[in-house]
Amino acid sequence: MRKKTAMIAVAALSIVVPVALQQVNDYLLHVVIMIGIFSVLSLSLNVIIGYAGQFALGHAAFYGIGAYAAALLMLHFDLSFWIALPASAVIAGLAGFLLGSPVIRLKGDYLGIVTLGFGEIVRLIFVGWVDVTRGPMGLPGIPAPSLFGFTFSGKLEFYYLILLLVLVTYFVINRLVHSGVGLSLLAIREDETLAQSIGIRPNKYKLLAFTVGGFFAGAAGAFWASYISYVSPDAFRYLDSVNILAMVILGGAASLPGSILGAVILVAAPEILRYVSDYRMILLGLAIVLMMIFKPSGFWGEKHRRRNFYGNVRKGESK
Amino acid sequence: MDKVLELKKVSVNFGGLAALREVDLDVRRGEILSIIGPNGAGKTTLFNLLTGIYRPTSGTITYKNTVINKLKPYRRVELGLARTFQNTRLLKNMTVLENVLVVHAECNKEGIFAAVFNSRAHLRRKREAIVQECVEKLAMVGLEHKLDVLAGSLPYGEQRLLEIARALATGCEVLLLDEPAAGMNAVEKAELVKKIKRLSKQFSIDMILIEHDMGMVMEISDRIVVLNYGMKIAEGSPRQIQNDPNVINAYLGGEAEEL
Repeated sequence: MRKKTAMIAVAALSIVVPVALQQVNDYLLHVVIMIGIFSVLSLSLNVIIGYAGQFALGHAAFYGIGAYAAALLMLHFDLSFWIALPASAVIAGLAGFLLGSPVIRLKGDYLGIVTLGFGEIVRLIFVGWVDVTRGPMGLPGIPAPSLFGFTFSGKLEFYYLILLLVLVTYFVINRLVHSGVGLSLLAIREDETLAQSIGIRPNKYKLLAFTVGGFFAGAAGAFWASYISYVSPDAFRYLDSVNILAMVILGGAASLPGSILGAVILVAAPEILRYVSDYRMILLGLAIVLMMIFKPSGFWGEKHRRRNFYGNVRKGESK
Repeated sequence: MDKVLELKKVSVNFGGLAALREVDLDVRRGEILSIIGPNGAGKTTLFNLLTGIYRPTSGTITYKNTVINKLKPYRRVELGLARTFQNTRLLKNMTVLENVLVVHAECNKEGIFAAVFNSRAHLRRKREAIVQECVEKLAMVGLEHKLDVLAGSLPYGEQRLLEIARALATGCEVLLLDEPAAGMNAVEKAELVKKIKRLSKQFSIDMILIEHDMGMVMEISDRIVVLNYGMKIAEGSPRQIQNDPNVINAYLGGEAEEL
């Protein structure tokens, strides 16, 4: 019952607060939208890192692939945003699958290095393939989404759009990880050899995690492209991958609310710390280091994982 | 009697070292077969061979009339071969029930689209049935009252029982137990013997057992195979084995005979 009230409160707040924020200024709303985008990114990376336990460092690449795919589709093929978004999500998912196929044989640090390399290669393609991506100049003039003649132009409209995207992402990933699939992923994370000998195919599930992770990161990228109306390679650097990774870890691996919390903290903190200008990155780094020392399982770590595949079934049973 | 599993002249070499040399072995329907032998005799190698972690250098492994030499571990599990480990290997950070659920075929095969798009009620019905089955498996070994305990925090004896329940949940027909009684006290061992016998008779699961506790082996086995230096040196009923001169030599360190 308390949970229900809390959920209604959160829902009401997420609808009303942005309207209030807009009265103050657009900048605050922009920060909230960025939180939304990074929530989708950290949720999708959490499938790969938190659940499947694959230490992947190139998540910004999928984000970038989604953004460029959406930009190119909308600019050159005049596709509407509503088709371009799922299409670029599929393309990024496919990239996840293709990257996954060779790298699932690797473990730990090696996997990290290869995915890091993948991220760099993708960024260099954005920079170097001038004919298609216009290189460092980027692709300007990406149209805003429109629906039945109504064009999404204001920040508030984009806010509701990203809210919807976060909700869909959360719903799908939540369903996925609290299922047989999620249990298998956790088993692989805990002990891969064991998983094999009890009938789980690690490769299948690892590929699945990369594909799903890529898919939603691609969707976030497509939204970003349309929101900013301009894409350039600068937004998809190694640092961005690390930033998303930090959100997952800070919020708590294998915890979906944690991923959102991580995104809120790591997007909002640098903005809040703007007032201390030069020191903000130092303070942020210090905060993360302290966090890792005193609360390594994250703010909303796995201890909160009560509701599993089984938990919600059993509540009904005991009635 | 039906032969469920049959090894013909199976050898495993690791580089120059022959871990198993031309071992012939069969497992018959409904029996408890024990494999004994001094340390390094090749018992665990044999298990790893049967479960697909190693492949034979030569020879054939036949399970229910199909050669399974090259099948991957998870395929063998699907066919009905399950094992427990010498050092218990559980998903320590997951609950007792989750440990069993994760191997359940239905739970395991739940597709991504089914998980995302099926209605809540439908999923719930399906999962309740799966959970029910898994709870039954846990009840078979007597762990049904500890469903929500983290596997890592169970006492040692119960961790072993959980491993057995997990193997059962794969729907196995042949169960390979690697030193199930290691580290158990006398009371727990007696209890375990009872449980293994009951599982074997009541649910007609064939058992292959590696064990060092001779008292337990003699009590529980229908048949015993003795390995030494990767070779089979004896096979027979507990009584025959107890009186076999080769076995006595192997264990008591007599002069190695020409074999």
